Amino acid sequence: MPDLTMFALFAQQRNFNLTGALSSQRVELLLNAWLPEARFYEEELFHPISLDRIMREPRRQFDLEEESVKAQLRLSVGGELVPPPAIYIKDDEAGGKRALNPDQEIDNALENLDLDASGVLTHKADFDRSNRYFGATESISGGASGVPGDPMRPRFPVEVGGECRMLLEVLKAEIQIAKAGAFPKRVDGLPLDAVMGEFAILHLLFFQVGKEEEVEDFTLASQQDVALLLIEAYENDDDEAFQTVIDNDIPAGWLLNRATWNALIKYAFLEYNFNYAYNDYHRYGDWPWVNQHEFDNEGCALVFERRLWEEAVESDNPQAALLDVDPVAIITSVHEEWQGADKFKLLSPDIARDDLTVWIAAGSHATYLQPGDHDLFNAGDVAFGLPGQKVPIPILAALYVLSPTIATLALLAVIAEHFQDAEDKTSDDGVIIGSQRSSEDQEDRLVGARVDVTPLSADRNIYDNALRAQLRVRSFGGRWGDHDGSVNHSPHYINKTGRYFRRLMTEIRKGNVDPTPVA
Amino acid sequence: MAVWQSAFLHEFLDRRPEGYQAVPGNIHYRKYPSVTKSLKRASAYSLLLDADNSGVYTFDNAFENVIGVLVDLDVRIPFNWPTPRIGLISLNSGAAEISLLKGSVTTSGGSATMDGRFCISIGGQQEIIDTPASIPYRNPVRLKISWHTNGRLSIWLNKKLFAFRPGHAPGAVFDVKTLEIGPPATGSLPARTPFRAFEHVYLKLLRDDDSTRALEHFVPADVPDLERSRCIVKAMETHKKSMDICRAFMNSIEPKLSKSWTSGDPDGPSTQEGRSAHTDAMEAIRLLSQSMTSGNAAQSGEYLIRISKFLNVIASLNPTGFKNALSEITALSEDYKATCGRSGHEELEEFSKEIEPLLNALAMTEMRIKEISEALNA
Repeated sequence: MPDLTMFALFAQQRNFNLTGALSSQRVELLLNAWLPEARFYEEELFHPISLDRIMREPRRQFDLEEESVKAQLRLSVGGELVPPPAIYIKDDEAGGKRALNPDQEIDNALENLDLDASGVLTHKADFDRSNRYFGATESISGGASGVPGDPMRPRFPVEVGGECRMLLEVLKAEIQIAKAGAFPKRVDGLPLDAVMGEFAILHLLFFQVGKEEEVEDFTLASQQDVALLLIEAYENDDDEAFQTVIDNDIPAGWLLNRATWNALIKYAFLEYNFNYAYNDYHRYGDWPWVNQHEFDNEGCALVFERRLWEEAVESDNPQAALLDVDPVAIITSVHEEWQGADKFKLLSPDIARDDLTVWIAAGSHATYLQPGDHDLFNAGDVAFGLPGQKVPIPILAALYVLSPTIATLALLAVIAEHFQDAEDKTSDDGVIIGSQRSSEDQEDRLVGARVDVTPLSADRNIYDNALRAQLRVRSFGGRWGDHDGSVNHSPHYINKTGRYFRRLMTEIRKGNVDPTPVA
Repeated sequence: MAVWQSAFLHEFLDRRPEGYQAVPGNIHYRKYPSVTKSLKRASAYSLLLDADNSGVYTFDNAFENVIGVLVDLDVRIPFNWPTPRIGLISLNSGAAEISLLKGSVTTSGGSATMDGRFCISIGGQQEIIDTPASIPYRNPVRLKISWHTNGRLSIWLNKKLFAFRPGHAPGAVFDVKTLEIGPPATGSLPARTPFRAFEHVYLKLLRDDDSTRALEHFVPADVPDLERSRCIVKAMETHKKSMDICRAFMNSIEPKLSKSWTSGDPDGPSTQEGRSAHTDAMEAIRLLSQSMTSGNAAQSGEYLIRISKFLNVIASLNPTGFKNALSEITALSEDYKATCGRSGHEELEEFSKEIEPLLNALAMTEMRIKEISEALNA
């Protein structure tokens, strides 16, 4: 049950503050100052909009239609006709699905205590329907289609989700939630409250050494306890207590990974979430490797040294000093984390602002650091099925059991070997947001963008009672789209803090980033 | 998302020689290299490797049973290299190697070019492309090399096909443990040599079972876990043998589908039959995939038409081989069915309903293969 009152109370009692010494006003200042320039493909139909817009726009348009059109737009859920969007849950007694908003506003459905991990928000798993509600309708000059230099104009004001997260505070809050068992979980074990989302980095904080028989048990619950003790000692600036925890509480055969710890205390992220109403990669990508689904969450994060921010806020001119702190690196999300395709780039001091451009791939919205065509990097199958390990291939085994069409399967597999490339397209010739330095010939294509900040600070926090409306939308932990049996599953909204941290740790392991804190 | 596996990618987005993306492994440079700003790409860099330097990336786990190699390079080549051969890429210390043989330099209108001949060695067979490529002075060239165990070797220069060779090491299979960027020159070298400047290095590999794994992309449902029974292991073994038979048959007709070709030759590298067979096969896979995700039965019907056209072409090019291949696979199939039935996998019942369109498409294709084979007998 998404008992938002309980979520809020839990957070308030523990003074959830994920932005450390930064007030909400200063977070907003930084997020607006560092919004990267983003360049979209000229034919792009779906540009970033707020979660609130994605949730409410279909109903707004529905209400303006004639009854005959409304009849076509209503969604059938468990035998009931529901205005878009529908929020439903799995309910076997109701024939599989039960709508939570057949005759009530969506806000009430979001507060419905029956809304569990099976929850789905959908305006229909269909490109045409999403295009009707959200797709760009004309080019900058009024043309019917986007071409280089005259791209499709965003249908709505562009809005980018922005959040600041101090990594140590994120870990602490996540463990507090897990220890309390306070927040219900989705089927994949993540909290149903999407604000906290997923960090899940404890496996990087402790590691085994020595012979297997000498290694004592160190359960996840024990790791959480030890991590909290370490955080407490660190926050109290008590080196002796910190060392005592290491000496006495970490069992034999285990060590604290200092690189991970150092990264946790040294860095903070400014995260930019680009939320799209629809992923229409099927219109641009190479079959058979394309997909399409309602909702898409991509983006990037800037990595900062939090110490420099903390020093800035103590200075005589905090605002100017804060803005003088340059990011260390940028990390972008490219397709799925398991493919190992996310991009990382160190930023040169002093020119970081000029070096902050991302290119958004047509349809898939993968976020790149260079323009042009990108042959999709995909190391996932290697990473998860290590060379030499002949693990069973589930689909082959299943097909052999169900229908041993052996000649056909061999033939199709041999033909499939000729599909070498799966490409993403990016361009310099589409709409540009967040630009600080574009040339005259790009002026027509510059589009304003607002950063939709999630307040996560001590002075203003999304769990404050006054921000209940924002919490209702941002915390929705169900799927942001349906599955019609053919179109791919739509995703949950998952902030990518853990994903970006794991990418950062890859660079730390390679020696490209030094997480050692300055004494 | 793809059949071929990405092994190593370096785009030189920043100053780090270690700023690559790769499957787990480690890079080692003989000497720590310099980087310089790219001449072509804003805020990007080039890796500078002189004649006695190189970067060797060693994969923690070797790629086993590799049957395809794709190398994509963006590199500036110096004209005053101290030896006749300029090393570009090497896999496993020479198991696969791409280099450029220096030629004459021409100056015209203030710009200079060098005639270079590409030398490619894969699977124990060396190929020197006699037609020289025009290499610009101080500008990078984009070079892409693709080889598959069916013998097809393709070379693209600046995104255009430059040369094609059929019959290059057909049937070759090898392991890949290392990738060497810029193999060093050999022999006596001067104290200071010019640099090769790498701006993009991408290696993709195809293992013999990668395409089977990719079959999962066709299925719009989660596949249930099956206990690793004897029959599942036998299914994998049978499938591997069937694919080997298929590949051997395709290799037998390859000489009738394509010919050696180099840029400037007015005829393309593929025969008319080769072009149509290739188009029909690729389109069939696309249509099958589209029908699985859209549920559109018409696309499924179009798939069957396309795959049938493809089958008719390849069967007509080697009727005896086609029949023999089918009878060998049929024997494997009979052996599998005799050993393993459908029983004992009730957990698949629900799944089978979800993927019924795919099962129907497979069954109809299997039937069509048999009909074509029987028609050859008639």
